[in-house]
Amino acid sequence: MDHAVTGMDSRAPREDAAARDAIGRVSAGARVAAFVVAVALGLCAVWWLFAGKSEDFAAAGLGVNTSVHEESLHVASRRVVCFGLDDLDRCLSALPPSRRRRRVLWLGWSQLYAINDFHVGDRTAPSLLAERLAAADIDLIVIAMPNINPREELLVYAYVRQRLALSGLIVPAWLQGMKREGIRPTWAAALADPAVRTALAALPSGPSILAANAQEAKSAQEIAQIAQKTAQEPTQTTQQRVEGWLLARLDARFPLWRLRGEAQGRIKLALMDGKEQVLRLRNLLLGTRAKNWVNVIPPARQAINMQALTDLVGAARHDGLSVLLYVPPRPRHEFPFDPALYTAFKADAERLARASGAAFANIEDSVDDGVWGRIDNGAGELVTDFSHFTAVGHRQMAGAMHDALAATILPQLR
Amino acid sequence: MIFNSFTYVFFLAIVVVVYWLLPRRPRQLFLFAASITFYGFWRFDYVLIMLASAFTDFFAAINIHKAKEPAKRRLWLALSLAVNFGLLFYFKYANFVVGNINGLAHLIGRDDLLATWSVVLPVGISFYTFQTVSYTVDVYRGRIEPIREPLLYGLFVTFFVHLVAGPILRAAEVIPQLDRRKPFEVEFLASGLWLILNGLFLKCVLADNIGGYVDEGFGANPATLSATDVWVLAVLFGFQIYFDFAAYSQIAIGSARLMGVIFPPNFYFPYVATSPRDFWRRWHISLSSWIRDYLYLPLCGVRPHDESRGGLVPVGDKVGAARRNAALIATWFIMGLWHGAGWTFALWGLWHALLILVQRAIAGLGLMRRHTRLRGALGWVFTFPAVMLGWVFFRAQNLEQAWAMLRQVLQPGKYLLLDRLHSGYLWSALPIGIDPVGYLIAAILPVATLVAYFVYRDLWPRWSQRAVVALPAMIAYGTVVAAFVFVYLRPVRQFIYFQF
Repeated sequence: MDHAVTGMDSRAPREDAAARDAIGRVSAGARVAAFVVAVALGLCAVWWLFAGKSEDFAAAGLGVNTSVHEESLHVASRRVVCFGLDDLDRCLSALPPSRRRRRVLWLGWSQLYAINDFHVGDRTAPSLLAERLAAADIDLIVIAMPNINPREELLVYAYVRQRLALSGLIVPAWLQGMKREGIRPTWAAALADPAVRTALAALPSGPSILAANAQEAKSAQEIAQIAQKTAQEPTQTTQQRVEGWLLARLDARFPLWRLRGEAQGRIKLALMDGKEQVLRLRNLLLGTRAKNWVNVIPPARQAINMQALTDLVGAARHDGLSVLLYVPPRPRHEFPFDPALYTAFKADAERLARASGAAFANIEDSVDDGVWGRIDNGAGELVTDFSHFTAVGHRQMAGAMHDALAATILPQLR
Repeated sequence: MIFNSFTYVFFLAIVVVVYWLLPRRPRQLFLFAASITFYGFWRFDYVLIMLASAFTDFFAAINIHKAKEPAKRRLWLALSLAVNFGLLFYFKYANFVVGNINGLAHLIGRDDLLATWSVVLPVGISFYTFQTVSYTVDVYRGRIEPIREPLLYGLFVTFFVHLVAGPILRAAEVIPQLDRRKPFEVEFLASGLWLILNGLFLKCVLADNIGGYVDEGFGANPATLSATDVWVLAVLFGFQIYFDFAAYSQIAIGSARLMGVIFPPNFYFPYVATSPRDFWRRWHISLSSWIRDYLYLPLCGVRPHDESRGGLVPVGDKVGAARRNAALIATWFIMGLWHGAGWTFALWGLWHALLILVQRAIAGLGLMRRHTRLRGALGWVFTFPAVMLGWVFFRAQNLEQAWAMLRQVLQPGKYLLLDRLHSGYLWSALPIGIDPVGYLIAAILPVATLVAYFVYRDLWPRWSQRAVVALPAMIAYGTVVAAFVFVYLRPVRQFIYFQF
């Protein structure tokens, strides 16, 4: 058929054969009705599955009966432990305003904020240690996040250093932390600060961190440039503004809409649970047990993270800080690392500290065997949780850490 | 505006309702205005660049048609190509060329010979350039007559559903549909809504969630990855980009369908392909058909087809092997560079050229004459990993990273830490450097694809003959998909192909 305007043949694509088959004998009206019913049922399913229940996502992956409690992270009214960029300012602004006081930054992972078998009044090791140090005019600030790695620690240090005059730094030599090398999005935003980028760029690990997170660094640069040039112009696209406006209204008016966050979190947990089931199947098939299984760190990744740890300790020393590198507590009888590799790792950490002029302490035996939590090892066996312990363990760790500080960097801080 | 956003859902609903209420002319005007608004949600200033490209072709095509002398016709065609490819070169390739010149100059001791400049790549420029160029070339070849209505032509180029990431369609396929005032049919609504829901599921639920594992893996130092990590990452990215782009195509096709405009399918289960050539008949079909008609077949000296379906086709024995191979390599080199201004993309294109050359060589030995199930299965076993490995080039940040990752795959020692075998612990010799969930997903996806293909091709045509079976199946499937889409619909990531 000639087209009236263009003289073109109408070569409008036909429905392809497969699509035609797929439609079969179901009428168009029935398919529209099926669509409407399906969408309605889908929304009902979301409501039915996720309304009225809420999951403690902070406790996910922490082991049996191990959890996080806001009140255990404080000393007096001040929150000692911070998690991310969003709550860091709140933590820093709560510090007592005094020039005479010294500030010590302690970096770590969930061992510092999670408590097994929590009871009201229980406190974490950072909270207990902060109380003891406060008497000596020293403010302790703890930044911890799940499975923190040394490259993240380096970034956190570079960021906090721009905002707070520090006198001391406490860093763990933790083998499990060597398993990852990425910067999580909640902290990658710290790369937006030009001073942080400059500080990182001067260190051997820095360029690779900046390159791996180029998008954050680049977009931040662009935003800074745009902000300088046109302070009045909005930096968001029309799409972002309209979407933000729409989502805010949906959030305010529809309870079903507000369930989306809960649903996303619980689906993620279900996926993790699915992984556990697959690992169980693997273990069943291959006869894997806690006794013949070890946690594997790729050697090249361990080398990269050791370099970041070296950079962190070196940078802090260069900035005039007193630094304590410590081997954290671990259960004595069950520990999922190859003993030979773990011994070599500790020796490497001690050498690193000595070479950088930092103090070194080994408090791995400071927490008694009976106070560690339990965790599913993925084989359906409940084994000792090698990271988390009860309030008793936190008291023991706080004591051991105080003794280690007193024997090493505390006199310099005073 | 991006498809995976609530803004688009509201925008589309309003556009579709108003579209069906208007008569022919106001309908075209309204759709043109809606398309400009759609593009302007990203940047209004770049609308002018798009219109400049479009209307150069509009006038060039009319003049080509009017001109009697071949020289004049060639002149107008050259003008059109120069403007279109000039813009594309300026925005997409100029810094790449400058970077390479500076790299060469560095070798002879001259640093920073030429300055690069800061330029934002207009979204969709590669797509609408190909589309408008195909129009001018088709008029030049005498396949179609030029359009004399600027509004209709402007709508053909800017029609929002395929503006920024295709499908790349021919004027003859789209313009008659935009010009006619079709009566509303419930069928448009039925097929359009289901396609959009499917597309949103592929994008928001599958592609975006796989993307997190891909980003983490490709963000790691390649030296820390084992050979199996690289394979897993290649498979994960292969599926991420497939779901992402197939999703965009389905939403585009579904959105057009709501307005009674029918686009051909752009993907057809590419990962069940049993040969590299078969893959390109199933993957981004409109692009491979474009490349076939405007590059590969002309280079081979064979008469091109004129529709955006079918993908790459063999040219047979009419063309000498040397010319065919040279055309193939040149085509794939350009195809690679079309995807991005970088040597990694060029190498990805050449990798596919190599795969097709290998296929030709095997076919030349007479091993592929009979189509048996065994041959199909063997073909899949070789094609699937080969295609996946090629994605490493595509996703890598640079050549160094691509090479470092592929080097892991080529070293037997990177599959197992032999020096750890003596330690007595079962797992210490298995180096897994990425999240184990990534392994799980990478294992499920190929199997799920084969199952989905089997259901779609063999079971569904039979089930769909009986409404009593088909309707409950559709409702069950749609309930699950709609629930997931509701939970995950958020514009956290742009479509990957937006950057091309």
